[in-house]
Amino acid sequence: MSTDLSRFQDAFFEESAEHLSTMEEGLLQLEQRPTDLDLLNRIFRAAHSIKGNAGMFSFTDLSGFTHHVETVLDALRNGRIGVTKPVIDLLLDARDTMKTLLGAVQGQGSADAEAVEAIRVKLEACRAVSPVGAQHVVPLPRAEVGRTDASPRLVRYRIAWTPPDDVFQRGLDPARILQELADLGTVNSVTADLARVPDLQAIDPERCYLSWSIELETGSVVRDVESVFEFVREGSVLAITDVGAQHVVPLPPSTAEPTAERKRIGEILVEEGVATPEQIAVALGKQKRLGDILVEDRAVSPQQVQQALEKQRQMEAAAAARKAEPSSIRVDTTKIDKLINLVGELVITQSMISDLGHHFEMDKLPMLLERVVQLERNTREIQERVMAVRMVPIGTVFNRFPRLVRDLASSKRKQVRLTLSGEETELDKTVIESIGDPLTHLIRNAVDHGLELPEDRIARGKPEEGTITLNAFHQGGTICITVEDDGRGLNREKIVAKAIAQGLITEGETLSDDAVWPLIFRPGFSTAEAVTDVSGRGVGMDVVKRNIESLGGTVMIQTTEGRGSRFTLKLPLTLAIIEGMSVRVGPEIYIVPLTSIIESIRPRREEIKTIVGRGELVDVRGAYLPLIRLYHVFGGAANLTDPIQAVLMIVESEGERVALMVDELLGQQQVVIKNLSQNFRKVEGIAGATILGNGQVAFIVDVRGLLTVSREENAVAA
Amino acid sequence: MAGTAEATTQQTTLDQQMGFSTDGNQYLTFTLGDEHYGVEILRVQEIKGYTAVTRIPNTPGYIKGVLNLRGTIVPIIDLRTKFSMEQVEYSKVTVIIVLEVKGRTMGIIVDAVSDVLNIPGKDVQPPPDFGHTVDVSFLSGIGKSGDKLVALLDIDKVLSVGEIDQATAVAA
Repeated sequence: MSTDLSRFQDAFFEESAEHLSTMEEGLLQLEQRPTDLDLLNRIFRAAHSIKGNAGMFSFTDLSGFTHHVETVLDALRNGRIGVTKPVIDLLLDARDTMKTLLGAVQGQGSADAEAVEAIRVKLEACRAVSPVGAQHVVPLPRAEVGRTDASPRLVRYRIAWTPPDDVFQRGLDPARILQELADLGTVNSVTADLARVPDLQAIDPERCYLSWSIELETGSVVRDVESVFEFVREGSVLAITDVGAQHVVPLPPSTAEPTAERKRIGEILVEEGVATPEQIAVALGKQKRLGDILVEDRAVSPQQVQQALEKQRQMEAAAAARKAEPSSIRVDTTKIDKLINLVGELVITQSMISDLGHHFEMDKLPMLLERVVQLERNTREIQERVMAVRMVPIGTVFNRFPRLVRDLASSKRKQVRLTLSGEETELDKTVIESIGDPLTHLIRNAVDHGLELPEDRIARGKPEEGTITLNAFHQGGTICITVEDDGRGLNREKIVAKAIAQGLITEGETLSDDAVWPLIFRPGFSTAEAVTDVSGRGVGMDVVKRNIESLGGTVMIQTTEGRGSRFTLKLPLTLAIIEGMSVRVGPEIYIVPLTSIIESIRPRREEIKTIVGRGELVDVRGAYLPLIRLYHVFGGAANLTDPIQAVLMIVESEGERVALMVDELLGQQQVVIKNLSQNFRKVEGIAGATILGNGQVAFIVDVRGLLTVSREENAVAA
Repeated sequence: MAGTAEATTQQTTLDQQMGFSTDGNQYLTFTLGDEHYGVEILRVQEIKGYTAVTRIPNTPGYIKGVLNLRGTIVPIIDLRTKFSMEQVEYSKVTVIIVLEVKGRTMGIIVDAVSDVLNIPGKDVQPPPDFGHTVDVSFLSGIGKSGDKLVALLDIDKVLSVGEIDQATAVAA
């Protein structure tokens, strides 16, 4: 039962997170198109779903708060208040609060009650504010908001009701009372307090053990609400609180503290006068922990209890760890349908082959081969489709940026327009999860450093509003994400000066632009004159680069001073499978990722040159590239030691090209990357391992690392 | 009461005959040349015949390579090389013992496996001190089993990744 509920809860958390992003997205769009009623309805529906579901799981804080948000949205909907920036700001804040509250019930952090209350008050004030045209939201004193015995405006009451034990015997049904309350207005939440329900054996079916707390929104006055309880008032504990006014209306013979939604048995006993607080305190003092009792009865030893407690702690810790890592994925049903079709085909092919196998004769060999080919095709397609299941549109990452840009822009006094494109481009979930932070950083940089203030922009003859463009697209086996701004661009002199000051380069060194820009990726490098809360501390760009590279990607910078800059992130589509070229060096087979191969050549004698006797270069259509013999870097013995007979693969890493010498190219194939550091450790120059068709292990070459190793070896040799 | 005590004694004897441990630890013993070594049996995942491994570039010589063990990549260490003993040809009885070392799976190549022994704590003495001449830091003790001497390996030390890293650094 409890596991079932928690499973639904997970679904609720996931859905609510989606609704929250719908709200955020919608609110940001609403600011642009204030009259779009469909949009407003969509936001409203999202809020409403959260409220309803939260109520179902008795997350009363969340549902209660969301209700206020909903009220404001409703006021927007029927035009009682207009869409203004302050209103959108407030709603965005409220949406963040909902997120915090949602996080709190998920056990991630806790909500700051005061902050929540502050927003709630603002929300209430907002809907009370005079209609359209209000530019400032003035939080009204509370008393003016809610307390209105005669006014037709809706008032919220919180009702805590504990019916007398014998309510059934008196022929009264609490459910009917609740129904009557609902007739008065809208019941926002009903929470039953089960604290007094005894064990099953002790239950007397004719007694009522429940109490309720109800949140009611109604146009009726307190007297009308009270009158609902007319017949049960005798023996009841009833407190009606006007929530707007915090105006407690205690009713006789109530001795209750108002609005305690969940009471301890001791409190109830005291309330009902059957025990004094002192008696309760004494009784509580006598209570022992289960372990102590068992030890006293000599059922278990103290060590065993200790062990059990330790185990309990571990289990709790493990459960918390599990909670921290939600890893489910939403998959488009068409993808699943295609997969099911393919599996169907696979089954058919398999039965065809086994059928053939049962009465096989040599003349049927071509047929067998044909079917094996079909099997191969099926398997490959299934593999592709299964990988596609892990593919998520990048829009899920992009969606968080409009809000980020909006908030940043207003705090930096800048006018920024963010354009997104290519949101439907799909890539692997693990990659998606890891590119959020680097992208956030690049965008923050673009707003903070890249774009100028509006007046500077006008002075330079640019439009007042700066533009940041975020684009994603496929290119070959990789995905490219570009972050582009039309701001001031990188300042070559400043970067060079800073690099000299930090000793990264020496004065007088001439560097190409392509060598200057990557300097900003060095740790601790910042040319910003002033450190702001957003950026300029010099941490970040190096992290961006490291994050992207750990995913097997690269970062490129293109920039024109005064015109803007563009950062291009190139990432592999997936981390699990790569397209590779298998190559042979002596008896060993290595896989070189296809993405890093430019071409393969057989050089002529005159194209091979040496420098200082050792360094070999190869002339590839006029460009001299360093020649690296794979067997030098990785050890081992090659069959061919003459570059004229061997094959040279031109490989590229971060804009650097080298010629890699191998014995033979064996062919192109998809390989599944296996982790080498799981049981061993990282080996420089090797990105991972894979298993070949014959069961043997082959290593996947990491071109970047290979260059590093090769250089180190040269250094040692020199 | 006397009867019960007797029964317990009988049970213990039976356990010992059957090779079940009632005291001390059980060890899988194997040979390198004429020497007998033992590893704690609970650390052993499986024993398999020697098959060709893939050499890992730029790693110390005693790391023979990696093996595909049902889809996982498992590093294999040649214990003879590791202990600087003379090399022998791998034969039909050459065996890879797959062990669990601090959450990692690793294999060691040994000449042959011999037995599962139950060596009670009283028959285990601390490793001897040869000073600098012989490194015995990877032994957890010396066990006696009949007239055989079994060197008990502290497998965490033998296959420590930290040491592998260090060795690589030196090699590079």
